[in-house]
Amino acid sequence: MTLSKIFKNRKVKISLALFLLIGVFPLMFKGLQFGMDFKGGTLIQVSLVKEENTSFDISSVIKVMQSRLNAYGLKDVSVKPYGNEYVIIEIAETDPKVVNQIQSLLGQQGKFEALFEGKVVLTGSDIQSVITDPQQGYGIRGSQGNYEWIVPFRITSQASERIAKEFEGKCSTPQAQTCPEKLYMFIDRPSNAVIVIPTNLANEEAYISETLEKTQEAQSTIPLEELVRESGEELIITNSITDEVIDKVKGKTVIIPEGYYSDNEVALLNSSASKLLVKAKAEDYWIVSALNLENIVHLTPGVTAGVPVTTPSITGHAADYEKANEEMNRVVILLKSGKLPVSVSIASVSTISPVFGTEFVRYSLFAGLLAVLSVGAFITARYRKLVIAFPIMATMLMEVIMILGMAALIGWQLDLAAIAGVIAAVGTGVDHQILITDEVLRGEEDEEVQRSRLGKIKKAFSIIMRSATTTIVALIPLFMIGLGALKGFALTSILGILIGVFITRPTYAAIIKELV
Amino acid sequence: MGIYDSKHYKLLLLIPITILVFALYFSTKVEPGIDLQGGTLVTVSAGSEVNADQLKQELEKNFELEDLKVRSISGGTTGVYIEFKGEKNLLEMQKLINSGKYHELSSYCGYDVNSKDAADKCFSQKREEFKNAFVKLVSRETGASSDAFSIQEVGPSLGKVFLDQARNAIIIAFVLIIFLIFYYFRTPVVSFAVAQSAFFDVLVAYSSLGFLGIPLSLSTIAPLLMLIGYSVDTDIMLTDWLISRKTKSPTDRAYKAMKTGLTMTGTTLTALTVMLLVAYYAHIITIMNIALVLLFGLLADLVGTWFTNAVIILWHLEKKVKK
Repeated sequence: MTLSKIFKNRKVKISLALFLLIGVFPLMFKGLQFGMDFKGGTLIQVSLVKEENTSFDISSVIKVMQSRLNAYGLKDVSVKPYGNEYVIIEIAETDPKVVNQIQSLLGQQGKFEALFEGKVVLTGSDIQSVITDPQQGYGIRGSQGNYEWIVPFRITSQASERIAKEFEGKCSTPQAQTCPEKLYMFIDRPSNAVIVIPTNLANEEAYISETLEKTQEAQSTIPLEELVRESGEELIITNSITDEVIDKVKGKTVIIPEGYYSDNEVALLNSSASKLLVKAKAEDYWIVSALNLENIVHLTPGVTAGVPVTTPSITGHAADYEKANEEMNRVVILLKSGKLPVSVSIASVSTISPVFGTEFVRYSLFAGLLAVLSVGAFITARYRKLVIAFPIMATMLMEVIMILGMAALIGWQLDLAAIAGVIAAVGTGVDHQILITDEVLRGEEDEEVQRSRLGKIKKAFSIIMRSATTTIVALIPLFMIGLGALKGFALTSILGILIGVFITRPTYAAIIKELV
Repeated sequence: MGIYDSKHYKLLLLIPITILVFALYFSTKVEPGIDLQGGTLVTVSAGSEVNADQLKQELEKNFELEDLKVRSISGGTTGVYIEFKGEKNLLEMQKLINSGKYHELSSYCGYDVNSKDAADKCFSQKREEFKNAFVKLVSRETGASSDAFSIQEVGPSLGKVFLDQARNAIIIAFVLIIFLIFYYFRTPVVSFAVAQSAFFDVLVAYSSLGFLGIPLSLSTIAPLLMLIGYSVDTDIMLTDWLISRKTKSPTDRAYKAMKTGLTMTGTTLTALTVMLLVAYYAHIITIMNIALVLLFGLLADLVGTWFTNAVIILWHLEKKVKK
């Protein structure tokens, strides 16, 4: 019986084993990873704003972004560099609200600084860990209308020794519970900036509540001038941009409120300043958002007596719980992940609805199966032998499973282009099987070219090898250049061609020799 | 009597030459799609069929969208495709940002803009505003909820990076395969015959984009490269028959090769037709476009292989015999 002979063939046995090993098992135990095209999700492209004369390592950008997304609680994320100027982030999330929060997390540099007397005493690199244990003070306290959140963090021993020295003897009221001296904490503080505001805004925000919340009943306040000075920035209060002002801001970063100065005045400022930031009116104090001030803490007599601070904390206030939670999470994430080496901006955002994904998989499978069946029908019509169509169809299905299995094995995310690659590989596979079939059949009808069957198959294989190498060589640049989506196409095609040449083609040849 | 038996078989070359002229003409008509040029593609899955014309009118009334195209989806799923290059104001703002004229953005933003930071911020804010208004209008018109939206946005600069890379990949691929083919066949004429077919197929497939009005995008570049594989299969087989085998006459060998070659291309054409039909029914535009481009490319391969490659090599062999 031919069938039992086929299954006794060594090549058939080996490829069946390989079929299980790299096809069926990986699919069963590891499973396929589907990309955004299939399961929906959001793709965010972040452009890196390079300052002149600076160099940075893009992998560190990726690491920081990855840790921010993980800290946010997203599991299924991919962060990839695209050239040296873009980073492409894929997340499974499609809820617009979550996407917005993530956008703001990714669009921030996240540079932490604490200032004392206008001097930076602590930076993000001094942070050892962020404490998220409620036992150690982390969490949200309070009731409706007045929530306080606290994020303690541990700093390195060198940093705590350093600031202990810095604070020593600085308390002007050592008998009281807290000192009037304060530490200011920022995330993304504008450095070396001049704040230019008109008198009406300066009057409005003459005293800033220490909680940084306007809605809170202010227990203690800080004068505006002091706040800006302690932040290490300069303040100019003026209703018109005079030559004197222009002179003062020369070469510095200038921050102005939106809608107060005339177009002409802003143009003048811009021509003199190195950078101009126009900040919109915020819900709370304008100056707090202009400075990116996060938190103000009072020194304690203990600290100024030389006791090293090891776990400072950032606190904040919000009227409702949800907002408090959102702010607290943002701070935790930014502190944990550290700062990006460059400033960033969001270049594009695209969301694919998961509704489409499932339909997609269904129709792709349907189209694939129909394509295999139609190839079978065509082959049967052409050779008038069912025995040829069957192994060709079986080989096609096996190849699909092995390519997908390999993709699962190396954890490749399948997207549309990758599926196109599978089709391409299986398609050329059919071509090669027809080549082998014709070479074998020809021996039967053509006495002149009677050589051994092995010789014919060798001939077929030399053609197959040449065409396979040519195709692979054509695909390599695509894979190397790493054209986002097309990389998957190149990968699955190359995998498929290799599987074909080394596994399925020789097996098919062995089978067809038995069948005809 | 086959096509190569006539004394004037060389006249067969007129067919590919004619096609080449058309292909070159239509290749100038190819337009880069959203992902290569920048723009927005919105797919909305709605519960019932959408009146595309009415939606288009409504969109035109409310927004100034450049190159707006609206197509309704029916059959397997219902919904609508909306494609546009951009919103007029946003496009102009982007242009100003790119040319460094930040100050001129002020009239769009309502306040003075003088730095790239401020310009970027204002731009993304305006973009967000537009997006929200757009989604609101479309969901009102179609009755689709906001989670049924797929919005693909590509910035123009990013698109350009894609396009450049795609072009480089294709050029390098061709240079490499020309070397490889020459290594395999050694004779310049023969190598040319094989390589021209790959070129011809890809060119015709590319120009079919212009002919059918399909945009050049990442998903249509894939089939262009797939064609290289399909093309060299038949050409290497044919050339092998003609050059390395010695039985019977070259013409006879060409017919033998043709029998196999037509079966090869035939199966692929059959599979593609099926894919095209399914994709058309299910409105999976990407797969439909891939299948269409491949169909054109494979039809071109029939010409490139059997009317060009075969004729050139037969001619070459004929000359060799005369010597």
